[in-house]
Amino acid sequence: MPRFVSSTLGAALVLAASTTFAAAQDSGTLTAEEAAKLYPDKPLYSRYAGRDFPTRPFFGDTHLHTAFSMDAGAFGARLDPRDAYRFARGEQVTSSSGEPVKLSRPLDFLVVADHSDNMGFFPDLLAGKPELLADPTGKKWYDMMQSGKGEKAALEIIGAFSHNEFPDALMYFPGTSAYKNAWQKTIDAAEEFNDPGRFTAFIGYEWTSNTGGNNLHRNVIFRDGGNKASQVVPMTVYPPQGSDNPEDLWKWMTAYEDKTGGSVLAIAHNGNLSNGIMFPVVEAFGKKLDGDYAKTRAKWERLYETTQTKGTGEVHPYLSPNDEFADFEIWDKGNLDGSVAKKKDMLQYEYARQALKNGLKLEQELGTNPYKFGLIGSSDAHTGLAAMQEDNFFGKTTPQEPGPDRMKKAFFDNPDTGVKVMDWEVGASGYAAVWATENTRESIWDAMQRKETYATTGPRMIVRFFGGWDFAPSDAENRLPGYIGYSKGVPMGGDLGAAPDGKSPSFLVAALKDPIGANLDRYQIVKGWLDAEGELHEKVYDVVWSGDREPGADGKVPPVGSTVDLANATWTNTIGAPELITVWTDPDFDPSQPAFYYGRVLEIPKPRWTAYDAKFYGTQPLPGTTMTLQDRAYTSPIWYTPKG
Amino acid sequence: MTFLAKILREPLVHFVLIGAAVFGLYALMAGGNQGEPRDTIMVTNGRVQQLAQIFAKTWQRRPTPEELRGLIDTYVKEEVYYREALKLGLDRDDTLIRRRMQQKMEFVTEPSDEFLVADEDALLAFLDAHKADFRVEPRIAFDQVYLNPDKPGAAAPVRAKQTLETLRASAPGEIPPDVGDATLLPASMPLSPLSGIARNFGEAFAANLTDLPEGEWAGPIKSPYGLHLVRITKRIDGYDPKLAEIRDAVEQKWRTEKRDEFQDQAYYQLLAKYEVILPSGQAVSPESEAAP
Repeated sequence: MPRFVSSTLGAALVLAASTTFAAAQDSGTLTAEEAAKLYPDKPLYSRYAGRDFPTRPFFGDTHLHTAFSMDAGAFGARLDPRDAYRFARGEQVTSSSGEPVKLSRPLDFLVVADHSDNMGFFPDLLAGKPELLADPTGKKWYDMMQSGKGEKAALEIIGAFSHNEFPDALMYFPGTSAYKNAWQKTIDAAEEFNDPGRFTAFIGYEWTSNTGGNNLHRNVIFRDGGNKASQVVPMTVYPPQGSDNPEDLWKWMTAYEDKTGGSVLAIAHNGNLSNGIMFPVVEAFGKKLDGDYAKTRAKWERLYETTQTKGTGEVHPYLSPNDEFADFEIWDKGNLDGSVAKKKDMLQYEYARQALKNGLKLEQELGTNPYKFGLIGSSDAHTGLAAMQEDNFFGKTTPQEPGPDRMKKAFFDNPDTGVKVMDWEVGASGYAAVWATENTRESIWDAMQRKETYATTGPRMIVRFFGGWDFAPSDAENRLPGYIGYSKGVPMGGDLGAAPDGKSPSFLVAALKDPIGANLDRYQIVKGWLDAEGELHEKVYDVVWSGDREPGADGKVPPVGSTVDLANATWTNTIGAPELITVWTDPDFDPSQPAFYYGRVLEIPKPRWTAYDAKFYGTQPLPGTTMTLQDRAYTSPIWYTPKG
Repeated sequence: MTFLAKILREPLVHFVLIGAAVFGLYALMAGGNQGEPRDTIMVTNGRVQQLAQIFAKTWQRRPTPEELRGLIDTYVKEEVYYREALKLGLDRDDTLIRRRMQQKMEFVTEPSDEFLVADEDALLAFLDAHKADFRVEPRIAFDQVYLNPDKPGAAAPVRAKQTLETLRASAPGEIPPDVGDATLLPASMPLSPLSGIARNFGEAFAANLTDLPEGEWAGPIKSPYGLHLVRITKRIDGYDPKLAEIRDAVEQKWRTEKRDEFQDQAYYQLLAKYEVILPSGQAVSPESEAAP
C-alpha cells in the first residue's frame, strides 16, 4: 500500500502502513484487503480530506552537463552548474555561443550530472595542509584570506600564476572558497539553488563507463545535501582509482550509504550505443549473471533513461516489427564513438522494452528481475541548458547551439567502420516527469525510487497510469481520476498483487496535453509477457484515442493525420484531443503468465526542431532529414507476477 | 603489542616502505642507462598520502598495499608522459588543454566568501535598482469545473450555461458531484502566482482570471483544454516586497552579479598586461569589451 495514502487516513491505517512499510518502499503491492482499507466504511464528507497523494507531476532533467565536464568544456561550453540551475528555474541566460536563451516555463528540478572523470580538478581535493603552510608564500596568502583580504590574495595568486612563480606546493591550497575543487563547487551550486517547495537542485554526477567505446553510462543522484555528498568523491572510471564495471559502481554506492547513512540511486542511459552490453542476459564483464547480480542491479538501478538527445531507446523497429510507432529517433549505427558498427543481434540487449521482457525470464532463472526499472527521459545536453522544446532547442553540445549550419554537420563520422551520425539526428529530447507529493529533494527522490515516473520526449503532458483489479468504466467519468486511481489501484511503477479468481487487471489511464503543446493522438498500453514455454511476447493496444476513428481489421486505430505546414514550421490543434481518459481491461489475461504493462501517449504530428531551424535560418536541410515527429511519453510499467 | 608490531601497522610506515621500494626499483633500472643525465621524479610522502586519501574518499576504505602500489605506479607513469609531452610541446595548440587552463584560472579567481558578504545598504540599493525582478506576482486561489468540448451531446457552451446555473443554485462552497467532466486538471487550485496558474491552464486562461468576481461562480473561461467555470476563492494583489521578505533571493542575485563583476575585473587586469593586435589593426581594451 502506498505510504503517502495511508499516512493520512487515521491512526489505524497508519499502524497498518507501518507494518507494510517495506512493501511500500518497494513501490506498493495491492491486495484486495489493502484496497478495502482505503475505502473507509464511513465515507469522508470532504473528498479532499485525506488526500496526500501526488496531484501534479514535477518536470525536470536528471542529466545535464556543464563546462565542468571535460568534453563539454572542450567543445566550448562556458556555463557552469550555477548558470545551469539559474536557467532551469526560469531565468534568462546567455548561451556559450552568445545567444540569449530562456525556457518557455521553468523546470521543477535539475540534476547537474558532470562526468566524474576529469571533473574540473577534483583530484586536487585533499591537500597536505601542513606542507602548504610551511611555504612562506602560502603562509602569507593564507593569513591574508583569514584576515578578510581574500580578493587581494586571489589577485596576487593570479599574478604568481601568470609569471610562473607559483610555488608547486601551493597547487593544493586548503579549502578556502577561492580554491574549491569542481566537485565541491558542484555541491555548493546545488546547495545554493535548492529551494524546497519551489525548485529542487539535486547533487549528482555521471559515471561514464565507455568500455571499448560501448556506452554503459550511469547518472548517480543523491537524495542528500552537501554535508553527506561532500564526504565522498564521485566514482570514476579510469583505473586504478576507478573502474568501468557497473558492479564496482554499486559497491561505491553501498560504501557511500554505509558511511554516511545517505541514499543514492543510479540511472543508466543510451543502451542504444552500448553495442549489446547494456542489458546482458548471460554474462557481464566475463562473469555469469547470478542472483546476486540481479538483486544488486535491481536495488541500485530503479530507473532507465529511455529517451535523450542521442536517440530514443524504448523500442527498435527490428525488435518490434508490428509496432508502427517504433521507428522514432533511432540511433542504431554503432557504439558511442563509432568505433564498432552495429549488428542486428546486439539490439535485443539495448532497448527498454526488450529488457523489460528479458527481465521476466531472468526472474525465473535468478530469483530476481534485474530489469524491473521505471522510465524517465532527460537531455544529456553538454551546454548547461536543459532546453528540449522542438521550437526552443539549444542542442546537445555548444557547436550545436542554434545556428544556420547546425543540422548539416556530422555528429561523428568514423571512416574505418563506416559509422556516421549526422547532427540533424540529434533529438530535442527529453525530460523526466515525477509524481511526487512536493517539490523537494526527498519527495522527488523517493518518487524516483518507487518508480512513479514517466519519460517525455520534450513536451510536458500530464500522464496518469493506474492498475488494479476493480476499475470500472464509470471511474473514467469521475471528476477526480487521481483519487480513484490511488484508492482502487497502484500507480505507475507499482505491482499488481495476486489475481483474484476470474479477474483480469484493469487500468485507469489519462493524459492531458501540454498547455502550450500539441493535442494528443492516442494512449496506448504496451504489454509484455512470458508464456509457459518460456517464450516472450509483446502487444501494443490502442486504448483511447481522439475523434471517432474506428480500429481497422488489424485492431489498430488509423493514423490521426497531420496539420503540419513545413514551410512555415507550424501546426494546428484542429485534430487530436486535449485530454484522453478511459478504463481498459486486459482482454488476453492469463493469471499464470508474468507480465508488465506500460503506457505510451502520442501527440499529433508537429514540426521537428529541424523544421524550425530551416524556417528561421532559411537553411536547406540535407536529403533524408526528419522534419516532423510525434512527440510522446512513456510511463513506468506496472508488473504482474503470478503467485508461487 | 611490541613497538615493532605497532609501527608495522602504521599506514605512514607503509607509505614510506612502499615509496622506498619504488625508488629502489627505479634505481635498479637506472643501471643500464649510464652516461645520459636523468631527470628525477620525486614521489613525496605527501603525494603518496594524497593518492591514498583520494582513494579512501572514493571507496570509503584505505587502499591495500597492492592498490597503493598501483596508484603510485600510475602516478609515475602519468608524470613521465606528462613531462615527455611537455618536452614535445604537445600542450601547445591543444584546445582542450587551453580551455582547461582557462577554467582553472577562473576557479582560482573565484572571489572569497568575505568578498561576497553583502551589507544591508548594498542589498537595499540593489533591490531598489532591480525592483521589477523581485516584484511579487498577484496570487489567486480558485475552484474550477471543466467542460470537455469533444463530449457528445449538447455543445460545451450550452452545457456550460446550464452547469453555471446549477452551481449558482448549490449551497455555497459545495460542488455537486455530478457536474462537469473528468479531467486531470486540479479541481481546486491553492493560492498560486499567475505564472503558476498559466503553467497548468495556459496564459490566456490565467490572464482572464484577474477580472473575475470573488466568491461566486463565473465563466465559462477558455483554456487549451476546453471551457471552465471558475469561482475565485482568494485573491492577493501583486506588490513590491520589502527586503526582509526576500532577503535570500536578493542576496543570491547580488552575489551572482558581484561574482561576475569580480571575474571580469580579474580578466581585465590580466588583459591589461597584453597588447592585443587584431587583423584589422584595432586593439582590444577592457572598455571596448561589451559588459556581460
